Amino acid sequence: MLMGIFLFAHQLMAQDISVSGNVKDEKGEALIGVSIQVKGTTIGNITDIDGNFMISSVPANSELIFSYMGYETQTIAVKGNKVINVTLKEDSQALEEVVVVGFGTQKKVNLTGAVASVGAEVLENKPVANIGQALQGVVPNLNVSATNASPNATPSFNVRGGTSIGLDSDNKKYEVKNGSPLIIVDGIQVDAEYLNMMNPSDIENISVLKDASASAIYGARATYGVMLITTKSGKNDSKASVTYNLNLQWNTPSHTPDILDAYTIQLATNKIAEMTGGTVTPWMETLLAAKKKYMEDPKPENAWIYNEGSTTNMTWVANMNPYEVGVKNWTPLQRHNISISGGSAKTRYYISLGYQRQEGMYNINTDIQNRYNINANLNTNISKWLDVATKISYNTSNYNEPYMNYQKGNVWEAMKNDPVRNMNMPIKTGPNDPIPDAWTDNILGWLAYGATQSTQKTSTVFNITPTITICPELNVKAELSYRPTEYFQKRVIPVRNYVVDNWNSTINSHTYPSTVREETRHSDYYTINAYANFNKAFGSHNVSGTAGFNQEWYYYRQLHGEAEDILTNDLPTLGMTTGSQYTGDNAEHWAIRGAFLRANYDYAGRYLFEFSGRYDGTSRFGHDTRYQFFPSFSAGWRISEEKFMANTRNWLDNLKVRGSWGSLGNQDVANYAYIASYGAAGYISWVMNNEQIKGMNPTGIIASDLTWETASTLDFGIDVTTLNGRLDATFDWYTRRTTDILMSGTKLPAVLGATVPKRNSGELKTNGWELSLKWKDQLSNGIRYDVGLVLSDYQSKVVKFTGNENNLLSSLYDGMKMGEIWGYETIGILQESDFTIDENGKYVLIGPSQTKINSTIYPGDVRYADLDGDGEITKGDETVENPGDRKIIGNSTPRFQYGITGNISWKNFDLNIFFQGIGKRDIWISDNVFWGGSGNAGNWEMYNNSWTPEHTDAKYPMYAGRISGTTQSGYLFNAAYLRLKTLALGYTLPKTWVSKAKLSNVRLSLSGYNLFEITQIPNLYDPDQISSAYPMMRSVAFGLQVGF
Amino acid sequence: MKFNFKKYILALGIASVLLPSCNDDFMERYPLDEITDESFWKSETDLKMMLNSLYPLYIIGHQSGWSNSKNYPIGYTGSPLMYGDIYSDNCVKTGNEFSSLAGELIVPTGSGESTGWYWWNLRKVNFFLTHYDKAELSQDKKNAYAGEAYFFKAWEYYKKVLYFGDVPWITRDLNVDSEELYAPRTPRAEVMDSVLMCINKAVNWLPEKADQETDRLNKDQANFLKARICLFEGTFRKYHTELGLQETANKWLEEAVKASEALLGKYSLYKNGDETYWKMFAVTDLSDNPEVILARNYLENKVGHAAQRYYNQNNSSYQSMGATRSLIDEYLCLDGRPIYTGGSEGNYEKNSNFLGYGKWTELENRDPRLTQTICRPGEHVTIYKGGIVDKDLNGITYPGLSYTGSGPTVTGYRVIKHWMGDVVEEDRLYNGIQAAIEFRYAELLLNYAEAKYELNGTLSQSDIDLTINALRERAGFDFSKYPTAKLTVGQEPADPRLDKIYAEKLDYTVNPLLREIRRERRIELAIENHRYEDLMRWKAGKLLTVPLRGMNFNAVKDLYDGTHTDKPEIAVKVELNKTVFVDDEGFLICYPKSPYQNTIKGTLPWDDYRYYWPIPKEELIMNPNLVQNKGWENK
Repeated sequence: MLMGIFLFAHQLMAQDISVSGNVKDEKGEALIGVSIQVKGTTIGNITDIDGNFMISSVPANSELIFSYMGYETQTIAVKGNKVINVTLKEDSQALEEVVVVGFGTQKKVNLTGAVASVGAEVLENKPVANIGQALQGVVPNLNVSATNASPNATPSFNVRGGTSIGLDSDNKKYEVKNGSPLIIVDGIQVDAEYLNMMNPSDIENISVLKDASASAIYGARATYGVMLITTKSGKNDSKASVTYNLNLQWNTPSHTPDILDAYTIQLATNKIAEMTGGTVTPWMETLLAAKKKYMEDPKPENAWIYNEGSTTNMTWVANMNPYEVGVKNWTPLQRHNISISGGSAKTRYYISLGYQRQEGMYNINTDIQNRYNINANLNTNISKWLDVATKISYNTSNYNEPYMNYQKGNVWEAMKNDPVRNMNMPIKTGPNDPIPDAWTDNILGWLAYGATQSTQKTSTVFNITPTITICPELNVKAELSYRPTEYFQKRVIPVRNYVVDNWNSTINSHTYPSTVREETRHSDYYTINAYANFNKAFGSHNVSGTAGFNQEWYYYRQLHGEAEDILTNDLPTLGMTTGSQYTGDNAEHWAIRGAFLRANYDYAGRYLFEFSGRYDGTSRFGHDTRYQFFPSFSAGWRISEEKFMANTRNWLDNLKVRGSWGSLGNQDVANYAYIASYGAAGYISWVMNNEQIKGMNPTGIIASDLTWETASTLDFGIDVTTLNGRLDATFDWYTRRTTDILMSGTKLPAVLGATVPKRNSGELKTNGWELSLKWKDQLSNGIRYDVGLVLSDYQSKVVKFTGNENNLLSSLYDGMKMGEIWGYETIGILQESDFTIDENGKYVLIGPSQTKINSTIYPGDVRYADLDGDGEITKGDETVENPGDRKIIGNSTPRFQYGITGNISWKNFDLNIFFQGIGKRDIWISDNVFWGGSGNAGNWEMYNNSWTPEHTDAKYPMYAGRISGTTQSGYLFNAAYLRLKTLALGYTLPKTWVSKAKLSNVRLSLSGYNLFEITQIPNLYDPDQISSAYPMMRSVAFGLQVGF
Repeated sequence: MKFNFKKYILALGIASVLLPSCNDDFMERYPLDEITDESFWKSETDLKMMLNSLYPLYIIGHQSGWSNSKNYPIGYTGSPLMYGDIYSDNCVKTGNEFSSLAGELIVPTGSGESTGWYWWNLRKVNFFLTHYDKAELSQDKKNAYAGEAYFFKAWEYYKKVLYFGDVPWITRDLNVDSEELYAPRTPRAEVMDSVLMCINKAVNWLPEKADQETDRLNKDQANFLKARICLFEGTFRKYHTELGLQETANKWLEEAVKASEALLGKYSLYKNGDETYWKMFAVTDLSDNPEVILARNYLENKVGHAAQRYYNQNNSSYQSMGATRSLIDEYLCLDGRPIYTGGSEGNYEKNSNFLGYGKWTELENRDPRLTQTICRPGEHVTIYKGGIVDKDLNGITYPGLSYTGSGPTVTGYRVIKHWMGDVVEEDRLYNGIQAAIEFRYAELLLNYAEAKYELNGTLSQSDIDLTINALRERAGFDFSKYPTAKLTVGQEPADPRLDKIYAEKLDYTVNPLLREIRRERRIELAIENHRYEDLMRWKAGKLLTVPLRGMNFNAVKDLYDGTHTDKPEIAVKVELNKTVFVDDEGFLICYPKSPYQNTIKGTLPWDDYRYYWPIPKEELIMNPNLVQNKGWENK
């Protein structure tokens, strides 16, 4: 009935005319892409590259609405005019900003939940290799952690800190988890790895939904926030525009360990012997002299010496710094991106091609990643009531690396950990050695000898979205998508013959027999979203709503084969082998299904209410606990709209307070946790009839009532815009309580004979807040600038943890704060005067005994405080109740994370500065490479500042690695840092020059990434990566953007 | 205006997706690569797969992989066959003895594998027994497989009873709400009756060896285990009179005899020229050994262990151990008579064959098994350099004697049984394939002899010939040269030394025939992990309090003065009263400086409460119906 009236009204319009015109800004520059709409209809168009527009069949008595992001919307009566030229004023209030939310958009001023939005400008023209790197420090409480900077590494995301409790990567200990938000690209769930493969240039907008009310519509996958990513699409009635982007970038490790040389390592070893009650043997003296000799005359003949009395066994005494030999100073990265977009009245398109080539940092068999991205979006208006959007996105990457035998560990770490091999051995034996020109056991030789691994990943998205507009107030939409992924990995390990410690023969440990291994993985991900949007005003009452249905299902299969004894290294395939062959496979699948609803009501834009909820089901729980309803409520009050605030309008643009509460379930548990299964039949260590046999084990005990972990979030926020839009501030405080966390159940008598099944029993609480401030202004001399600050903080606390009845410190316990560090209180470094010497010449410590910490103790060690006063330094029972002489000495949770951004533009120049950092954090460094001692390469910082009998007022205890495992207050590091994350200078060539070359736009940029840090963390480490794998990078880049 | 039907039809199409049919099948997602109860327990293969995993849990052999998992509740590391006797009076290990051996064990707090109060293996057995009957097979077939599970169940409970006495008898796999979780302990007699029922089922249901697949459990093995269990229970009840079960001991002894008799003559003792006894344990293939009833076999590059890798070092570093003088002294001389044939302590009459305690001279002229169990320096173990075992080239390593440091034997008596001296096997690292004999006919003969003696109070000459004399003959005693080497009823040799020990340590008398039966068992089965169990069932825990001594230091001290460190002799310097300690007669004291206060000058303590192990405290709290073993209440 209602619909009928609208249709009827449409029919009443008067005779139509054709209207054209031009839209400019206040400076007279043409505005491209301004939307013009005939009021009350869907008729409209967009300005072209010169700011011109044309709309046919405009009712002569109608009104045109000119709207453009960042500018004030104007409504102009047609009154029969066929030409209408408009100058749009910049919208200093930015109150019309629209934010992408789940299954729709909302005006920012009307938001009642906690949502942050990031535009394309944050991602474009930055010298970053992936989206994660670009987002770090940009959105308050969107925590991005990159484990390393390997081309193949995927940064992980987290919203608002501790989310749940789960097992660590070894499946042994429970730890507090910072879970990932749900990541949605154009309506399709993806993972962080997919995001990593995307072309950052294709992204139009990223919305981060932080609280339960904003994310509730996504239900059980959005428990810990949502990242909504919208990719670019073309604009109607616009000329085809082609943009080419070139980015040339050079990377260098942010920190390279300042390791000692071979002679100093030996010298330190000899000194350690002296300082710890041992003696320097003649052999140690011999080694010292030999290493000195080599360093003075580094020829292959000096690289080794025979062991005492042996004519075959020898010891290597060479010196080489593997970081200097093996790591490139600058590693290039290049990125090309070309995009074509445009549209006619009914159709718009966006096509982009991206290519990125990134090299790794080792200069021996350098690892290389090639990434290709193809994106095509096509939106067609088929009829007045039917729109169809289609999208195909193809992302593929190819990573070739030298395969590092897993027994040798990761290269970066190995180079500082095993000097006997990695510093004292040359990569190859000398030409005159008894076994000449052979590999040694040096780690760089393992990189060089020829084991390879190549990995190809492909992810494709096919998406069709029909939208049916039933009437202007109501449309129905379906998003149908299919996302297959392919993965192929091939590994070839040829035999490696190498010399270790004698000239009798080479050995081939870890590489014999040679192997070739191939693995494929395939997955299919299907998504169906179908929903309706309704939006109508009844006087001052505005009502809108979204209701829909979602269903997703997933299949995965993996297959691998491995074969031994490669016939020829030229063509290593599974077939070209003569040895044993092994195969394996696995597969899994799951499904989710849910119905969702969001209803919004506001009165005159002043009182805002929202309800959203989702009835969700997952295949991961049993029939009876499979479905659950998760509701959320939120409300906002725009105080600035009240009559009594009328006299503040000249300076206060917007003041809104809001609050939300919601409860969301989390289905992120093992696929079949509620099903008792036997596992696969596997080989057991048993032989029957001369063959190894297979066996199976009983199922574990399963609690069939496993159900949803639930997170309830309460959020209060305030949004302020003042001084004519120049100052914009948002503050949110939240508390999130996660209950029914799946974890080990309460202990049962041992006669059960099995692991107590997991139960929904744990509880975690996270409190935090986030602030963002932005100031922007334009000076009279034409300089435009803006400054922004984001600052956030959270702390998580374990409220309830079952499975640690004795409150052991080695596990989580009730009341534990995430990140807390237990340790001893350091009093100081022990001197000769702190000891007496017994009849056997041994040092005896005066004062509380420390033999429970170190069985032997010497001057240069550390004295600890006897906190419990029992005359002895102990670990007690290692429980919270009796921690011995330990206490909480710090916390490793990063606190007060911040980002400071500044943009200045003047004439054709623009400058972007971005600082990022952590305000407070404690770190205990357990890495012995820092603390020194034998068996690792050590570092000069510690070595030069450590206690020796001659240097008794040193900063650090003796250089012997004796406290690396004894966490203590005196050597806890302040891990706070301030980092210049981005510095980018751009220059846009004047239009007059550019147009001569028939180009529309040319921009040049120079930028740097991770340029420097201010921190107290020792120079061995990047403050984001205290223990290292592939190190973090500093980058400089040159960019060129050309528009055709 | 025209009404646009297409629009509404399409919208309806989308809306119909909004209202999905309540098709629950879509949400039922079962594992794609794992089997669930729905599909398991159907075929013969299912039964086999489940049973296969039980074999390595019970038939441990030399373990597998790095072979360094612990054996609980005792807590030594490595192959039980090689190292089990360090928890007895047969061997000592370097460094410190076990706190539990020193009587310093306190009741553990939490349960866990290390406490022995560990029930995971039983659950696997019970799990099988709960489900196997569902298989679509003939009852006979099903029974044959159930026989395997009953075999392991009997084994499980007999060991539990050995360590804890009364234990809860559990008949099914439990769940979180099973009432059995809170059950009290089932009385020993009841548990053992059930064990007998289980092993009888195994005997009845398991196929004859000839009808069974190679290396699956067979009837003979069930009879063997039955004999072992029944002898254990029969003698335990007889000597542990405090249980009040001595009346029922004979029933068990009869069963032991019966089970043994089923195997008599079906197997024979291995004979393979010189040093047969040593060779038997130092092989990778037992298929031609007629003595083996059950073994754990390994397979090149597939299933192996590091036993030799460690044992080579042993005897240098890993689980360094040395034999005690108590063990050495028990070996007869080659005339079948002990080292002392008369007199009394301080004034013993020496057997003329016994050469006294010189430089390993006590190993001469003895039961041939002695030098195949314990070696003279350089005889088997020499320094191992570059894979070459060569006394002339590399020299002789003398066993280390000092109490501290790694490598030494403490006693000077290096164990050679199980040692292969094979570079190839050593270089297999954790893929070693030395075979492990779990059940052998020699033990069956000894079980039979002892059970029959205990049942009747005597043993016929024919039974002695069938058992003890057969073992002595195989060992290499020369009966024609030394007729007394043959044990004859009524003509048992005098052994004033051993009789005195028995008289002091046991609360019953051991007559000479029983003394010889027990001696034969100790010698033949030395370093095969039998001694602890034997001491427990004989109520002979006090034998652990015989002072632990090594060789006579006076005889070897010139070797250990620091000058013999060059080829061909290598002996590490020791200092009297600093790194080695000796008693009044010059014998090395093991554990002179024990960290445990109960061990004084190498003499371990004993208290009768230690016949059983304690139940972890947490278990008593969680299950109030559990009662701690007597004597452990406040420990």
